[in-house]
Order: sequence, then structure tokens, then C-alpha cells
Amino acid sequence: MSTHPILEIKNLNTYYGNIHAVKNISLSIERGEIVTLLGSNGAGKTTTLHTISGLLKATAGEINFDNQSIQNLPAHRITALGLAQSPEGRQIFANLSIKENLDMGAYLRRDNAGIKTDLEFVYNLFPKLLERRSQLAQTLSGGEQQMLAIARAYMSRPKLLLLDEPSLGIAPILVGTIFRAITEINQNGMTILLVEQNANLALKISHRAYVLTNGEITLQGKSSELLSNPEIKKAYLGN
Amino acid sequence: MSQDTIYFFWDCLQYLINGIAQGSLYAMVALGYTMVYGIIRLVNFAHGEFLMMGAFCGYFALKFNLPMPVAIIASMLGAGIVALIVERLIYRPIRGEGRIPALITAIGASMFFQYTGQLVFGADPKTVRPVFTEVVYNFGEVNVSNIQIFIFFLTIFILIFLWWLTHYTRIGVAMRAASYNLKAAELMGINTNRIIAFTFFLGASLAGLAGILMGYTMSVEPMMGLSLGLKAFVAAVVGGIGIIPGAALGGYIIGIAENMVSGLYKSSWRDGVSFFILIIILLVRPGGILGKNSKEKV
Repeated sequence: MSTHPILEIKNLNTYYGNIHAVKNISLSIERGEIVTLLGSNGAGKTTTLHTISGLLKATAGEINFDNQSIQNLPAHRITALGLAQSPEGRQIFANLSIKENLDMGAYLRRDNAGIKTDLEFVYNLFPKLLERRSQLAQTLSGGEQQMLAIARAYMSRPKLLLLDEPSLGIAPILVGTIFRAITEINQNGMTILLVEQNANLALKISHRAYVLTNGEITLQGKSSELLSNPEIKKAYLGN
Repeated sequence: MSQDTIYFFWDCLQYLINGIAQGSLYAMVALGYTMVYGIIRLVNFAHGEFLMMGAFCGYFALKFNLPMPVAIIASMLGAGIVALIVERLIYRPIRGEGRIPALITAIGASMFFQYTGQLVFGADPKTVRPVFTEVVYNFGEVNVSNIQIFIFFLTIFILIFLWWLTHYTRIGVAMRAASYNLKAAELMGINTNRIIAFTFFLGASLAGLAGILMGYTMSVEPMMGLSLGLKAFVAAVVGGIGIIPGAALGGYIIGIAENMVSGLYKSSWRDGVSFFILIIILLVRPGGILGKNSKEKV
């Protein structure tokens, strides 16, 4: 095992259109962690994730993933290095069946035995997907689509899994299922960067957290400590 | 039934058969239009010129005494390679600059090939060297040629092949995924540039195939892609642009309507009727016959 962090970001700057959405942020993620990136709407969370996964290009700064600089690679090459993203708004392929969506997650893989094992793992995690595997993804409810988006990203067997707002717009009853699944995926050995607005749940399942305000990191630390931080309580926990 | 009525029905049947053969070719061309539109939302007005370039490749292959199967492969490869070059050099650099610039660029590319074609090949229509004799079979009062039968079954084969490709192969499912959401496909590790190039190649090779078959039954000339491309575009829109079965359906509708109208009414209405159908469809069902008219769920 390498002692280097799986992901290390130094002084990253990204523009989203004309907006300087990510200002000089630095963060690192160790292997095996769940790290939460907290922030309100428009704080720059999704821009940060898109810069990491290559959908947006940084104007300055460094992104090192698994000891390799990735900020100039196209998104599909970054995925090939072992970094998968479950994007905001789920972005599933509604015109494909559930099984085909999962196959697309495993697009770059050739190890059929491993794919089969991982397919069983995600079906076990979300039995609904197994039940409805041959149906079109557009027939799924919002919460089920979120499960599919996470499962699809998992299917590439990434070293680092980025999850963008997995609880957004989802029935409260399914939010619990999804967060339990995230914990289980992490216990299975996968490192996770979780972007969330639901600060309470995210801080409860993660090891460390960064707080993003207007594109800058304003607070960081152990999740358990941030949970009792008065500033966090006031701004994100509603008490 | 009077003798006249019986003949009328025989005539209709004959026009229907001619229409199906003609429609098969429209369908072949419309497939490329619709696949490219499906993946990058570009109405590729140079698609007809891919057809023309393919037709010329086949024409030269036959001129140099190569057999028909070689000429067909030359047409398909020729059109496909021209499409790859156009995509790489012209469409890819302006992708993401909006739809109107892309559309104007496509019209420019189309004209470039039309007029360069006239300069290089000459503007006169060229007859393709006949390599097999046309055999006409009579069924009652109806004639069907072996070429018509060949074109019909070839189109059916192509449709089955495309269905298989897009549902049972890795690259085909990736094409469908990319046509739904290019960015999400990129996140799966799919090299979407390569998928787009492949789609151009595949669509253009079908246009090249239609080009040599058209050229074989009529003639080959640099402007041949203009009207054929326009008809195929109409067919794609009528069926529902972006939808593969829609392109086939639209092709057959346009082909049959043209032959029916020109046979039963006036041949000068041949071109008019396809645009008449287009206008009606756009008024009644703007998404096309098989298209979704509802807004997509976010």
C-alpha cells in the first residue's frame, strides 16, 4: 500500500463560465476514507467534482490521483485510471435498460469474473435493481435512479468514488438505504468523496470533511468534531 | 368490378412496389442522418455529399473493371473515410460552439464537395458500367426487378444489423448511451470522440452504399447528393429524427408517397409530396411519427 494520499489537490482554481467558482482550494483524501465536501447551493461543490473528473478544466492548480497528475486528461482517461463519478442529478441513461446502464459502468473492464462479482454486490446492495434489471431506466423512481447511478459508478471498480448529492430530491425513506449502501461500499474497501447538502447524515458516515463557502475551503477536520462545531450547527444542521 | 378498377389496383400495387424499392434507398440514407443527429444533434447537410463521394468511388471501381462486390465495398469505405475526415477536421473543432454555427458549417461542407466534385469529376452525369443484367419478374400485371428485390432485402438486413449492433455489442450500447447523455458517457470511460467518429463512419458508409446503388440504376454526378440528401433528411424528420426505426419508416413513407403521387396523379408532384408530408407532420407531430413529443424527464 502506498502511503501517498489517493487524491491530492493543490491550489485548484476553476471557472464555471465567467464565475470563479473554485478559488485556490487544497484537499487530500487518504485510501479507505469517506471524505465529505459540505457546502450550500452554489458553493462550488459540483464544479470541484467536475474538475477532478475532467468534465471541467482547471485554470490553475494541481490534481494528483494515485501518484499521477490528471488535470490535463480528458474525462474518459481519468475514469480509466480508476476514478468514477456518480454525477449530480443522477444522469442515468434513461433509454437503456438497468442492466445496460450497469454494463456501461463496467465499459472499460475485461475481467468477466470480477464484473460478475461486482454485479452481484450491487444487486445485493440494491435488490430493486436486480428485480427490474431488464426494464428501461426511465421507469425507475428518483431514488431508484440514484441507486442505479451509484451502482453504475461502482461497476467500474474505481479506486476513488465521487458521489455528487446522492440524497438530493429523494424520498426520505430511500435516503437511509442510500447512506447505508455508501457505508457498505466503503467497508468493502472503496475510498469515497461525498458531496452533500444533508450535512447531518454526511458527517455521521464520513471520516473527515471540508466545508466549501463561496468557492473557498473555510473549515476542515474530523467529521465527528465538525458535527458539534457551533458554526456548522448554525449553518448546516439547522440548530 | 370493371376492367378499369382492376387495372387501377394493379397500378397501385406496381407503384407500391416501386415506392418500397425507392423508399429502401431513402431509408439507407436517412439512417446516417438520424444516427449523427441522435449523437451530436447536428443536421449533417453534407451527408448527401458523403453519398456522392461513395457513389464516385464505386463508379471508378467499376470503371477499372473491378467486380460489383468490390465496388460496393469501395463506395462504403470511400464515403466512410470522407466522413471521418470531415468530422475530424471540420465538425469536431466547432463542436460545443452551438447548433447554428455547426449547421452553417455543414452547409458549407456540403457545397465544398458539390463544387469541388464538379471541378474534379466534371458536372456531367456518368453512367455506371453495367455488371449484371436486370431481370424483371412478372407477377400478374406487376413487374419486380432483381435489383429492386436485392435493395429491399439489403435494407432489411441493414436494419436487423443495426438493431443487433445497438443492443448486443459494447460499442453499440455505448452509442445509445452517448446519444442520450454525452457527458455521462464520458464519465463511464467511453471515448466519446471515438464513438462520434464511428457513428459518422457507419452512417456515411450506408449513404455510400445507397449512392452506388442509385448510381447504378440511374447515373453518378457531383450534385446527386443534394436532392437525395434532402429527401432522406425529410424522411428522417418524418419518422422522428434521432430514432433508427423512424428513419426506415420515414424512408418508406416518402418513397411510397412519391411513387403513388407521380404514378396516379402527376409526376411533377413527386418532389412536392414529400415536403407536403413534412409540413403536415411538423404541424401535427413535430417530433416525428415515432418521436417523443413530450418534454424529457430531467
